[in-house]
Amino acid sequence: MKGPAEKGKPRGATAAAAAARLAPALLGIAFLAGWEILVRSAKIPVYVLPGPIVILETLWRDGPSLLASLLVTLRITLLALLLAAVAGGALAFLMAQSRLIERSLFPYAVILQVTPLVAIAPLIIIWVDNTFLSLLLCAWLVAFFPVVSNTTLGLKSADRTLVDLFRLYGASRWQVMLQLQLPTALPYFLGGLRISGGLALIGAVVAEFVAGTGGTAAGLAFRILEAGYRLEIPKLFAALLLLALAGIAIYAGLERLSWLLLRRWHESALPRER
Amino acid sequence: MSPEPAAAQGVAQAPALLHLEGLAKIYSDGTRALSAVNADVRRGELVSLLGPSGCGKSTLLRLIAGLDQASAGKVRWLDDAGAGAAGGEAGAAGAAGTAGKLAFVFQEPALLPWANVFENVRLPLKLARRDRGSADRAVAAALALVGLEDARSAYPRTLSGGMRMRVSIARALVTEPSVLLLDEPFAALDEITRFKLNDDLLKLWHERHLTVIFVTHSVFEAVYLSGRVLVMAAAPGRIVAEVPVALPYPREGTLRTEPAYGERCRAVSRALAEAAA
Repeated sequence: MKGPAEKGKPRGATAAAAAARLAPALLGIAFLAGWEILVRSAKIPVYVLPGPIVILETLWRDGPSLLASLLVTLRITLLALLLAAVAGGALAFLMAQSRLIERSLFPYAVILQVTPLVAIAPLIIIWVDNTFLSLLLCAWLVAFFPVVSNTTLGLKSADRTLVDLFRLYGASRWQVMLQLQLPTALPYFLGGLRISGGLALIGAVVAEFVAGTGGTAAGLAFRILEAGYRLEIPKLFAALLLLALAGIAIYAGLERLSWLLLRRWHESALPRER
Repeated sequence: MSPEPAAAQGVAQAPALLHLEGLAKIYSDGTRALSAVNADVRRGELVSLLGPSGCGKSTLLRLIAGLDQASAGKVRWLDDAGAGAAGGEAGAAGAAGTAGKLAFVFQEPALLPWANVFENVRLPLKLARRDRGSADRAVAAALALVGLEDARSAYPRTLSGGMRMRVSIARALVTEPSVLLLDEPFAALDEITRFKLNDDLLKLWHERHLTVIFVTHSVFEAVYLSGRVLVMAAAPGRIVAEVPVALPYPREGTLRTEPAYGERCRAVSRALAEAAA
């Protein structure tokens, strides 16, 4: 719903908004230009630090093969994120049912969270025969905790007065859960998911590094390793660039999802001028 | 307007609807929120509970609603048709038992932020699993009562404080309660909006034949609205005086400037000052 304030914006405000949008782009361009100039003027060899133009050329040339690897990594990442959302949400829901269940389960969720993935990834890869499954498990392990902890917090954050209101009208536990606690927890869940999106990608990359799977199933992380060994530094940068773009896309997608679900009512989706 | 004792809507003769017997509330940390409260509320009456912050007036209202359980004493409803027989003894179950007959308006509007005005007002009927058609008609009627027909699809965050409170009142009325409990509902509003909502409340009370218990810390509001003011004091919370207001209904805004009104306000203020002393 657009307020009347939207129409009557003063001209200065639109100019400021345009500047705010342009500023990061300008900074980025200045940075890249400076990088290119530095590399050329100091004659830095390409295997130490390639300039942005060389990197873009490499990306264009090796694009198709890198993209195939990116898809492998993305498949693991997105599947892990989906499983984190489902399992994390379900676990939080379960813990909200009873204090006892929460107290029994939560410490173990924390233990899983604080154990460094690089330390347990080799074990998982040894234990799980299927490479895809082992990578998926690694990515899921790091992605699911933010969803669990945020959603648990959200389910407990229902407004006290509203809880009283539901009680006054004789609402069942189930009605309170579905019509009060779950909608209250939604923004928390989505916030957790946004953190998990980045973590799932990192988890997938770390797991690929540890597993070192080559061949047709090679993910982007393996291509980075490979390029490093062969001193194909421009290719390494190109792969890194793709990885960063993928991370940004995941974040933007989740932010969009969050906006779609919350725009009507939640503070986080309110227009700024209020 | 005559300051002579005049029975408003024949309330003085009406039978008692609610009987509070030695009601006490002690919190688990030992705080005595209420001690030995005895009072009657008659059917069709508009009575105010007036007192300083922390005198237990909200606690008392919650005990009446069955939202909290009394440490001692009883809340007795003397009419099954009035507000259900469950009363204070059954605690939360009592609240469930009184659903539909009793409605509560909280200090904050307490609206679901993710639901629009219509859905917010429909909530009590939805929780009672009322069928969609009759629920929708009841919601439309309740919105008309508070003059919010045009805001039905608006979300709470787009509404002013006064309008939110109207939604809250419409939600309370949608179950066609016979008893309305209000806990400082207009305390956060500006005075002009508050005056307007005071008049709306008087009109609703009259038209719907409600029994209203109104908690406030404003002497002026209590006198303007009620036929009787129960003055409370703190530490421990208790009722220390009962001041009849004896101004005829219907009351209008012009009453606020009349000497009779000022006189009642002084009487209530005196009782409040004596209670604090």
